[in-house]
Amino acid sequence: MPALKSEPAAQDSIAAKEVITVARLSLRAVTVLEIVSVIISVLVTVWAIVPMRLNHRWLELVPGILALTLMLNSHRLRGETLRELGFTTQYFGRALLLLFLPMLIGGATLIGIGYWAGSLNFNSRFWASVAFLPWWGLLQQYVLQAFIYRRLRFIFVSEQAEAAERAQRTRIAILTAGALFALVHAPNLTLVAVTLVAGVVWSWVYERAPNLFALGLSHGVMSALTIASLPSWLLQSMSIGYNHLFYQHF
Amino acid sequence: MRLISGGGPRTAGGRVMTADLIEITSAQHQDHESRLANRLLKAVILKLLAELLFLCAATSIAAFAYFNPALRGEVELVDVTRVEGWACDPFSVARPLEVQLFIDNRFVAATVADRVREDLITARLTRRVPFGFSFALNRLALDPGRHWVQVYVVYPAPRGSKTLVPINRQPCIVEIRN
Repeated sequence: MPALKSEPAAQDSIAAKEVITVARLSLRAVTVLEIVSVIISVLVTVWAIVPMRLNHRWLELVPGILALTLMLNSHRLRGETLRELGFTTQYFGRALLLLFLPMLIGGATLIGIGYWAGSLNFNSRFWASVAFLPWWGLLQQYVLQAFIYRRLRFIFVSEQAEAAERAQRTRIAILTAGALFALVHAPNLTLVAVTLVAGVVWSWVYERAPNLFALGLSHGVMSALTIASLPSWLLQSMSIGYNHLFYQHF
Repeated sequence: MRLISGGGPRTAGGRVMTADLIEITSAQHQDHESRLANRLLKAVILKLLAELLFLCAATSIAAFAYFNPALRGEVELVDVTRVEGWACDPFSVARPLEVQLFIDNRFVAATVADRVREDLITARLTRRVPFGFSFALNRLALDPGRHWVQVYVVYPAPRGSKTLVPINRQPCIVEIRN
């Protein structure tokens, strides 16, 4: 009976999958800790270190440097290449194409609000920020996508799952990445709302076209547009963390 | 180490070979993931410890920068005509401190603690450095009733700002009668 003959092999295969699942569970738990650790670094910086206004400003970089070291070490141990992370020219055009419509809608909304509130201000500072912010955006996108989103995807999405379940779990990973990105911009409610939407869109694009340069460019342009368009009462000096609570007293 | 099944000797064909392959591959995979998880966990713990140490150090630096615990002083005399005392920074004795008088939480006057205090020299609190201060209250025309008096040292804080460090833990009380 051929069916009986193949039974041990099938059992072995199931057992093998179970063992892999157990090992992955432990790796998943550590992956959660990695994400929490990086988020904590950001929160410690904006809620504790920056408000201390220490004499040596470089001290504000220490938690970020520790987080960056952790992330680089994690990439090295997991064998992730720069290309896999998105530091590549591959998918650049595709990512820009995917970003075009959301950026058009987002940009039009921001300019519309600025026009309505009379706060549009495209001066030389806007162009200076367009030149600088993509680099700052690239760094943020690296942390958000190449580290946090990739780890969230590892936690939520099992490659052995069926396509429909994988798609659903990918959506959860995208939403979680957006939520975490919004969380670090608390308690500035305007920024929380903007970064929640933007974070979800950028993670959605990264899932389809993992290119950090395109995302960094988009991040920089949208940030510059936000600064140039939104009125100060809505933008609230783009302050986050404890400094934002401080700002509310003026 | 066999992790997947008991698996005694197998001699029959390709099916058994596949099972063995799965066994070895999954065992290696598990071992690799387990080692990876351990190394990542160590890195996370190390980073957490480094961050905690840094946070403690930064908080201490900030505390010393804003509220120098070494500042010494005393409001020695509060009556209806004057407020007197002394204040000094032991780490910077050559520089007389600026002090500000607050009555009922309102700024009233500022002066420099630069008066020579022979009694403090006698008490060996200082050798020659002058750091006494005196505010004359009779010019203030305070309303009758109780008033809370506090003297603060104007202390230079990071990035060019200044903080007020109270000399006494509790404000002194002065009573003005009709």
